[in-house]
Amino acid sequence: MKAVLELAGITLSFGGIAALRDVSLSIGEGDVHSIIGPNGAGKSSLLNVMTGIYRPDAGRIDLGGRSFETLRAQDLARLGVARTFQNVALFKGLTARENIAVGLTHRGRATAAEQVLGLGRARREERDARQAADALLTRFDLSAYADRKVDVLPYGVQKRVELARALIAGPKLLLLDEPMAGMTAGEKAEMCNFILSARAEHKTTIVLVEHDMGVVMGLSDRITVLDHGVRIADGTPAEVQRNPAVIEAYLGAEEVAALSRHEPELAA
Amino acid sequence: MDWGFFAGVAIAGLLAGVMYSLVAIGFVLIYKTSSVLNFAQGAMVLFAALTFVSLHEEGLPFWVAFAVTLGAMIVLGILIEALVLRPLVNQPPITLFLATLGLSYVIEGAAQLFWGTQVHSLDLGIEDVPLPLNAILISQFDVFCAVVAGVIVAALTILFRYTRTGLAFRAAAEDQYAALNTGLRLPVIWASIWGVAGFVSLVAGLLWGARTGVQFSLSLVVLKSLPVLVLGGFDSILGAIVGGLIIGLTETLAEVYIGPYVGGGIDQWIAYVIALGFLLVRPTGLFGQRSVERV
Amino acid sequence: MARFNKLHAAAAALFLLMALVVPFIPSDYLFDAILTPMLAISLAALGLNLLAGYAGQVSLGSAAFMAVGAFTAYNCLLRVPGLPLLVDLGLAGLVTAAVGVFFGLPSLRLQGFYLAVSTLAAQFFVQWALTNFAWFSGGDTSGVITTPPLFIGPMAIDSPVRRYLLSLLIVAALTALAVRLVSGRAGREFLAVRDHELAARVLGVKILRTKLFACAVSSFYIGVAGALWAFLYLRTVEPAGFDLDRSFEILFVIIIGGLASIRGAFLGAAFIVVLPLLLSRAGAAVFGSTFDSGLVDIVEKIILGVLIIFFLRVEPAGLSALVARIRWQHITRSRTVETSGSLT
Ligand SMILES: Nc1ncnc2c1ncn2[C@@H]1O[C@H](COP(=O)(O)OP(=O)(O)O)[C@@H](O)[C@H]1O
Ligand SMILES: [Mg+2]
Repeated sequence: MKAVLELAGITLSFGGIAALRDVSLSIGEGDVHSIIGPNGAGKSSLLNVMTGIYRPDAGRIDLGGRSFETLRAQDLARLGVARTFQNVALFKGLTARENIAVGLTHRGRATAAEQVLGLGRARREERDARQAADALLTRFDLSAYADRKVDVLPYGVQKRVELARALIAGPKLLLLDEPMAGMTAGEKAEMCNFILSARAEHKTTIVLVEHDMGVVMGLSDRITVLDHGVRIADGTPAEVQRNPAVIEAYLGAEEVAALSRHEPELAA
Repeated sequence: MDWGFFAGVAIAGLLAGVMYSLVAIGFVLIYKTSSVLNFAQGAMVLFAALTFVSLHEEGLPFWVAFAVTLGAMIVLGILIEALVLRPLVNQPPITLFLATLGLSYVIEGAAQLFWGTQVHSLDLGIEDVPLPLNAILISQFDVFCAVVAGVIVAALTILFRYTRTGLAFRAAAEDQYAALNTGLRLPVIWASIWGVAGFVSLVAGLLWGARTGVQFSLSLVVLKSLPVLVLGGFDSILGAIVGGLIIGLTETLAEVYIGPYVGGGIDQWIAYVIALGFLLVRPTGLFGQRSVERV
Repeated sequence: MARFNKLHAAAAALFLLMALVVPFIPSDYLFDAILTPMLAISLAALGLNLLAGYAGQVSLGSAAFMAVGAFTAYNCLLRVPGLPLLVDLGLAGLVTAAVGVFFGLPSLRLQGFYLAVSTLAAQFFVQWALTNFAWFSGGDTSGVITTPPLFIGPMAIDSPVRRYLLSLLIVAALTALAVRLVSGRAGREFLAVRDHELAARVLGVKILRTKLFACAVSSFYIGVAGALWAFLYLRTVEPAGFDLDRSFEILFVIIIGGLASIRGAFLGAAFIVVLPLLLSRAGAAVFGSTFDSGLVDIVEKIILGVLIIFFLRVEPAGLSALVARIRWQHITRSRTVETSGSLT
C-alpha cells in the first residue's frame, strides 16, 4: 500500500534526555494508524516531529511523496495535514464557530482592505467559511455552542470543536493526540464515530495517539508501540496484542511472570 | 588615541554596569522562581531607599534603619505575592507583567505619599575620593559599589548552588507542580525569594541613592536593567552580571566616543540597541536557557 | 460577516448625538479640555488595542508613535505647501506605520516580552531624535512649536467646536474601519495568534505577517491620534508631552476599558481623562487647598495602579464587560455577551 507519511531514523532529545531514538515508521494511505505506549514514551514528541513542531536531531520525513529534513509547521495546512493537541489548543477569545473557521484561514486570498470594505472576494470567502463551519457544527452536534466563546464550554465539547477545526479544510492526513482523554464511555463512542465518518468522507488518513485499548484495538488498522522513545512493535492490532515486548512494556516484567501462570486469560 | 583616557572611560563604564547588574539580579531572582518579569523592581528600589533615608533622618541609627527597611521590604514582597501574583498564577506571562506595571504605580505613589516628594541626600560614609591608578583616576565610591555587588553575587551563587534552600528554590523554578507534589512549601519559598529580592533592592537603592540622591528617578533604574536582562537572559544571575558589565561598558564608550557626533544623550537608548541587536543573533540571551514549548 | 446589530445601532445613535446635539452645548471647556483630548486618547488606545488586546503584542512605546505622527503631520504641512489636512493626517499615519513595523521587526520573531523591550527602545530613541535634531522641528530650536492654522477646504478649523467635530469625524471613521477589520478574517487571525500561536501556525495562519500587519495598523491609528492630539488639542508640537508616562497611560486605558474591545478604548479614555478632573475637585472639596496638583498626581497614580491590578484579577475584559453585563441584565436575559468577532 502507498504510504502517506514515512519517518526514517528519527532521533530527538531534550537537554540530554532522549525522547525518540531512531524511530522509523510508515503510515499507509487511508489507515487509522495508532501510536501507543506508556506515559513519557514519546508519542506526543513523535506527532510533534511529524508536524514540524519539534525539529528532530536526525532522521528524515517523507510526506506525500516529498522528502523533508525539517518540516515547517506553517506549511502543513497547505500540504493537507491537520492535527489536534493533547492539551486543548483552542483560541479562547473566539467563539466555537470562529475557531472552526480559522481552519480555513490559509485559503483566504482577500486583502485586509477588501475585508474591511466587504468587497466581492472577501464577502464570498467569509460566507463560505461560515457555511463550512456551520456544516461541521451541525455534524458534530455543536450548533448549540456556535456563538459561545470556547473557554466556557465543557471539556468534551472543546475537544470536539478542536476536531472540527482540524477537519474543516478536508485534510488528507489528520493527527490526533489523545482526542478522547478524560471523556466518558459515551463521549468516546461518539468521538470514534466522528473520526470514522471523517475518514469515510475525505479518505483521510488518521494517526491516533490514544490510551484506551478498547478504542485503539477497535479503530486501528495498524499500531505502532513506543517505549522510552524506542519503537518496540509495529503491526496489526492482533499482532501487537501478541507481541511479548509489548506485553512486558505495558505490564512490567513481574506481572508478565505472574500472568504467564494464567496463559488462557492473556490469550483472551 | 589616548589609551589612558580610554581605560579610564572603560573602567567608569564597567563600574556603572555593576550598578545595573545589581538591579537586574533582583529581576532574575523573581523571574527564576515565579516566571514573572517584575516591572515593579524599580519601584521597590525607590521604596527601599526612601524608607531607609526617611527612617535614618528621623534619627534611627544606620543598622536599625537598615533592619527595619529590610523587614518592610519582606512584608511588601509577601503582600505582592499574596495579593497580586498568586491570584494571577495561571494567567499568561504578559498579564502578570502588566500587573507588575500597575504595582509599580501603586508602590511609587505610596512611597511618595508616605515620605514626600523631596530629594534626600544619602551619605553612606564612603568618601568619594578619586584613586589614582596608573594615569587614570577611578572613584573610590564606585570601587566600593563594585565590591558590594561582587559580595552579593557570590553570596547568591553559594545560596543557589550549595544549600538545601537554594535547591528548593531551583526546584520550584523548574516545575511548580512537581515542587508542590514533593512537599516543598511554595509560599515559604516565594516569600523568602521576595525577601532576598527586597534585600537586593535595598542595597541597590542605597548605592544608587548615595550617588544620585534619593528621589523619584531611582525607580527609573528599572528601565536601565531591562536591556541588561535581554542581553544576559532573564533567568541567569551570571547573565545579569555579565550583561550589566557589557551594557555599562558599551554605553559609556558610545556616549564618549560617538555621542559628540550626534549631539550627545545617546545613553538614553544605546543600551536597548545593543541588547536588541544581540537578540537577533542569540534569542535566548547570553546565558538564558532555550526551552521548547511543550504541546 | 458582522451584521448590523443592536450594538452597531447604539454606536450610531451615540455618534449622531455627539455630532448633532453635543456641539450646541455652550462650553469651550468641555470641548477643549475634555472631549477633544478624550477622542485623541481613544483613537490611540484603539490602535494599541488592535496590537495588544487583539494580537496580544504589548507595546510600551505608544507615545513615541504618537510623536512620530504629530511631527510627520507638522513637517508635511510645513514642507508641502497646499497639502490638504486629511491627506496630511493620512501621511502621518503611514509614516508612523512604517516606523512601527521597523521597531516591531526584530522582536516579533520572538515571543513574550521582547516587543515590550523594543518598543521601549522606540520610546527613548524617538524622543531623543526629535529633541536632538532641529530638522524635525523645521529648524525651530525653542522646542515648542505652535501649529499652523488648519483648513478643511475653505473652512478654518479655528474654534473649540470645530476642532472637536473634526476629531469626532476622523475618530468615528477610523473606528468604523477597525470594527470591520476585527470582525472578519483578520480579526480572527489576530486572536488566534494571541491565544495559541502554535496552533495558529499549524492551521496555516502566517504568524509573522499577522503580527507585522497588527503592528502597522496599530501604529497607523496611533500616529493619526498623535497628530490629532498635537494639532487639535495641544495646538503645539513638542516631544516632551510624548513621554513614557503617556505610553503607560494609553496602555492603562485599554486595560481599564477592556482588552480586545473596541468600545473599551473609548470607555477607558473617558475614564482616564475624567479621573484627574474629578480627583482634584473632590480633593479640593474634602481637604481644601492642601490637596494640590502634586498630591492629585500621586493619588491618581495609586488609584490607577490599584485599578489595573483589580481589572487584571477580576475582570480582564474591563469596563467594557461591566457595561455589557449591566446592559444585558437590564435589557435582555437571553443573549450572550458580544463576542469579538464575526460569523455571528
Ligand atoms: N518540549 C519539551 N521539553 C523538554 N522535554 C520534553 C518536551 N516534550 C517532551 N519532552 C520529554 O520527552 C519525553 C517524551 O514525552 P512525550 O512525547 O510527551 O511522551 P508521551 O506523549 O508518550 O506521554 C518525556 O521524557 C518528556 O519529558
Ligand atoms: Mg503525550
